[in-house]
Amino acid sequence: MRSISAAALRSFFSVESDDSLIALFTFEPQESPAQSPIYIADNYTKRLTNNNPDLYGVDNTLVYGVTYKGQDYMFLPVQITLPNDDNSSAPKATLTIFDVTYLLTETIRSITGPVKVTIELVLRSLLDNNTTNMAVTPEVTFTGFYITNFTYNAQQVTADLQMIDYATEPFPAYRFIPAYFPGIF
Amino acid sequence: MPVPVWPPSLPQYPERNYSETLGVNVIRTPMDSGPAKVRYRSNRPQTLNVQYTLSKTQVDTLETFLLTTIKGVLRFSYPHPRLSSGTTYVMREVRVVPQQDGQLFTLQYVAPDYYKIGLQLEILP
Repeated sequence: MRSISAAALRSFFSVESDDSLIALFTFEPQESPAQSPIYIADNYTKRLTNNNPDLYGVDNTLVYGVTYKGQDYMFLPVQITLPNDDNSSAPKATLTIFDVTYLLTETIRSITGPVKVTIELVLRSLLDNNTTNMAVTPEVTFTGFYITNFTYNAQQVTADLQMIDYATEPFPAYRFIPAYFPGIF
Repeated sequence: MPVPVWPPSLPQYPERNYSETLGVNVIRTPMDSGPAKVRYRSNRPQTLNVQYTLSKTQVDTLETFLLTTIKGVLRFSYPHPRLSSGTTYVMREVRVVPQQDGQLFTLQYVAPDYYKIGLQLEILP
């Protein structure tokens, strides 16, 4: 069972809360190891470019974000469409990232294989702007998602998130049929 | 590339009718009954409405600064009218908020060679 901290529960249920959850997305390309992971946050606590003026290869671009476990997460507005209850296929979620600045588009174009996605929800109050936040514990971590499809236009990047659907894998994996074993027929 | 600075040849303080808005981004969720739930989300830009009376030369300087130096979109360092005192300027990074159809400022004739300029600026968090 997932355990959520008392501070997060208080933040959820109180009538007025000075705290909120920040969703942190880590995209790790699997088939191109040289490709660096992409780190996106759906909110910001500070400017990232104050420390690194050439962040993301764009000089003097104003980039907001958070620092979590020593890593800078770039702020881009993100919208998630949660999976439906259709039992005939694996749950599929849709992630829409509003990237009018093209900070993400160039990286996405170079991805050639499936991308592993980790989603972490962190309390904003735990993120200290002056440290690397190495010891911060996420409230919830979602792993095991893969992006199966990317589409993008001038305003947004849309990604389909899917888990590996073992239930619909063929079983047994191989059968003695002419297509697999032509020599025995 | 360094952030451009508000030209020193222009007035460092706006005239009267200066106004300022402050706030934060909040999520306000109405409930079926009872008070709405309110959550803090992040800092938001603060808006400044400033007016200057400029000579024709200063208008040219402002026009060059807005159209050429910052091209209407780049942020620049600007002396905050409320936080600055005397010649001790507290600088903030601001952008011009274009009005309808991308208008950067309004210009009104006051007297020969003098014009009144109105600008809306936003302080970036």
